[in-house]
Amino acid sequence: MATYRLKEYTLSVKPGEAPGTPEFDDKMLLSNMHWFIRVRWIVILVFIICGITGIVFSDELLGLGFILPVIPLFFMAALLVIINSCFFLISRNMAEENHRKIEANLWIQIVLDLVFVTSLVYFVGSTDTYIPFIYLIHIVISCIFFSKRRSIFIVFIASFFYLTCVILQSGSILHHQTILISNTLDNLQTTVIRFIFALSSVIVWFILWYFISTLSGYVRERDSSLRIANRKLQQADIEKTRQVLITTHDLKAPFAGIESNIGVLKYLHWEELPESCRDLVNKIEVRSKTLRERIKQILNLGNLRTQIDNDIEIGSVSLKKIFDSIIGDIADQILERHIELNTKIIDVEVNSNEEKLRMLFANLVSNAVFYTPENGIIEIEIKELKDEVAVIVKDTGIGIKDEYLDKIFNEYFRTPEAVKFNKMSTGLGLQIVKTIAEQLYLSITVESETDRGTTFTVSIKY
Amino acid sequence: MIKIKLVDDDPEITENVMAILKSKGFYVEACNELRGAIDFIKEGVPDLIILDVMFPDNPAGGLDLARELRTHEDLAKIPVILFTNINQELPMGFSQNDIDDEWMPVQAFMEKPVNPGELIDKIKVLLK
Repeated sequence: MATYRLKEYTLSVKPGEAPGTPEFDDKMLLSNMHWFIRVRWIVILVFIICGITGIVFSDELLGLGFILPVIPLFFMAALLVIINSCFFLISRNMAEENHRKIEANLWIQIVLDLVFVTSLVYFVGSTDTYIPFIYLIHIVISCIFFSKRRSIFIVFIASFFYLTCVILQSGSILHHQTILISNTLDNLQTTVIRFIFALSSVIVWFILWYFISTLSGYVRERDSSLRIANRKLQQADIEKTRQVLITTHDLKAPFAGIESNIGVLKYLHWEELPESCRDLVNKIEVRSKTLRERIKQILNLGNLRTQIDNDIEIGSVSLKKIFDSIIGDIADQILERHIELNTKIIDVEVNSNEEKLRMLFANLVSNAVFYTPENGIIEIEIKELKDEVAVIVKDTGIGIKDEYLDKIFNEYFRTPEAVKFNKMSTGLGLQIVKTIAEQLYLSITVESETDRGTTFTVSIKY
Repeated sequence: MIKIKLVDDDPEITENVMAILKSKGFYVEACNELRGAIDFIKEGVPDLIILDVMFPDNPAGGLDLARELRTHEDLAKIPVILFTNINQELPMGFSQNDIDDEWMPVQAFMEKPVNPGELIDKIKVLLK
């Protein structure tokens, strides 16, 4: 005896997406890596501009009490150009799936950046200017991009580099450097004051790290929850589509079966049936077709209504292609009912959703066919206007009385004349047209005269 | 005699299509399951194949089968007609325009219930 256990529903969540461990995924890390490289080009440019300023305006700067470290700036810029070019070449060939490589590359970039920042701090003046606060840029970025644990590691590295620089300068292992020719702070500085300045800077970094990493943790957690909720919605949408597909099939299949039997009856045994039976068979066929059409339209309408505007794919749509296909579909009916079809279809493209436009125009054209008596005329015209395309579907059908004109887009609404003329009418076709028009931001104008015909004009903005 | 093989899970549709085709002098064999369908088609290679799209065990079974047929050297060139109940609906909405060597490698596409006259015409065109 075989046993099967229905497993409980679980949502497949990638590592790192579960709440509590929110981190950026590889795609995001890779994009951050590219961003770091781009920002570094800007930093190189700033270094070069500062270096040139130091040369060109040296007298003016001296007058203001500054002397820029021109040679170190150019040297650092040149070194950064080489390093950043290497990062650029490596990152170009890096695949999203290679998590370890991306992470390693990011960490190398961070550490090297901190080395350069420390060099800049050293040359500008580690304890006699506000330059140490430049480390904050890296600390803030690390808090945003990394978890709390990783970002504090970066704060420790930054503190280590900076304090080492200060200690080496205090111990005269490194020569004291500053851009200030002379100021009161410099004159007053002792080793103790230097350390107090350096330590207070580091303390400020840690305080800022705490606030920013906590806040960005909240933001990431929220982002992670939203991502999971979004994935649930996507899964629900896939499930809905599957259900619509199966429901459509299951509801239509019995009617297709009935009509298939009628088809065989008509094709192989029609002559054997008495007139009264033929009449009944035709009635069964009409009923079955009506029900099948109604099921199709109810499902279509339900499906259209559950779609979110953002999910609608918009692209370039050829109206000629749509009408060629629609006309192909109605060709037999037109021929059978001796309807004259006149078209002025130009090859124009609009920005919209092809599938929905096809459904909208298919409904309008099939309405024109259904409500036009034999030997009537249907005209389809596409006109290019100043800032829109007008699609006109005109018929010489039964028309709509003035009193009903504002109700024709209502669900299940059918004029008494329409019911009398076309027993297969479902009253949902124009509701589908209205729903699609709303979703695609189209305007529709209807002009009608009883027994003379109806004209639908659909305006599609470029 | 022209041989046609039909794979559709609906026995009623199968029976009706067979009756129509036989009345026009075609030799028709049918199979109501996806499982073993390739072997069924291979046993006496037909001149034309008719496939349904949706099967109870695979909602896209007919499409999968059409793609598989193209991988068999002896079956790859046989014309295929696809029958379906779901060609007009959103968001699936596939039609004659979607016929393509990769996704829908078939020659024709017909919505159920299939009109007997149209089916015969289509078969004649495809067998020319």
